[in-house]
Amino acid sequence: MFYAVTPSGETIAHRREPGRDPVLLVHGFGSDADATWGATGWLRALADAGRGAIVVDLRGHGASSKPHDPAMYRTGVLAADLVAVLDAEGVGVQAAGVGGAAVGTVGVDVIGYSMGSQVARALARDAPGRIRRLVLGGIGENEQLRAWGVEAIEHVLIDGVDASDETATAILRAAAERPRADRQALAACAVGVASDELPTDPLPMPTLIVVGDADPVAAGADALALALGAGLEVVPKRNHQTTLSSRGFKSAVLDFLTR
Amino acid sequence: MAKLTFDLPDLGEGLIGATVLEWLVSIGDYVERGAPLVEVETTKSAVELPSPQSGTVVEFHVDEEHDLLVGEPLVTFDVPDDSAGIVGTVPAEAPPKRRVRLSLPDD
Repeated sequence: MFYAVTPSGETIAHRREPGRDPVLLVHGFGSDADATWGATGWLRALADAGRGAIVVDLRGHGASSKPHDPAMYRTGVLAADLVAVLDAEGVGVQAAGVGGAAVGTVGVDVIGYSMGSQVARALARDAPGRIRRLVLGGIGENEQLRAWGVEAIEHVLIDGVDASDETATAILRAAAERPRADRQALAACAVGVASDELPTDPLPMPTLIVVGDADPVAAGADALALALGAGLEVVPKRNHQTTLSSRGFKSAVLDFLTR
Repeated sequence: MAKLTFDLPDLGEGLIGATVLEWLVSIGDYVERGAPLVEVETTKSAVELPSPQSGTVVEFHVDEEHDLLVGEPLVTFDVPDDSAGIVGTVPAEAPPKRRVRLSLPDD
């Protein structure tokens, strides 16, 4: 992994996978780049299509800095980390034309999953010119961390007490038990992300939402797609975990990225 | 031709088994080593396993939506005779073996 340094001094781990026209991949809450995009076969699927990738560990996760202050996990901060990574990779920067005049920004294709999709929406809000096409996986009408409630999340992460929502307990437990997990940082991340309401206006770039039909986290994905002006692909028989690795998700995205 | 059977590999994190979600190849397909073979779900996550072998798929030992334990047969390939016998297990990311000192240190 390489490390991009943010203006406030945190380090954000990222890595480039070979291939043309790299896709920026943004993992979800409590996971990291390799678990979300490596083990699930996404990097292989992109490579088979000739596409490169830029994977990142979001702050609070994997090999990146793990501050304990919720204010350090507002969606704008997380989106700025992605900009820092794109800058460090030299992707999508202003191209200099004749006489050094900028001829415009070249955006990258971005795929997010779960909380990573919310961060990608924040990037679309704050730096729309950096995105060419946008894929939002595993999200619905209600942001999951806010829906679960910050207190319930802290109970699971810090005190080890189950939440009333089974999916929440399973996802949070798995997050807390990962090898490099910092439970305080994860709780701060949940609070920070949950404190922001993301815009539900139509997005300027082509956008595709992909969800499993057995994923409670993605409830109301059709309404979100309508609001954002996005396409919607529903993967049959898949829950929040198994949608990510499904062939249906990958083929829908690879098709969308070549349109 | 010879038949080679591969077992469900150790998926790490103390996991003892998995559920087959979807076979990504069909019986009779020729599959390259490293190409997507099968998608499985554990209690912690869903993962895609690459093929451990180049060869023709002749048998799935477990159906979709069924469970199997680490070490139980997963898939059988038909491979040319000259490549059979070289490998018979799913390659694992094994840590290097401990070096053994063959002579006593001088001090």
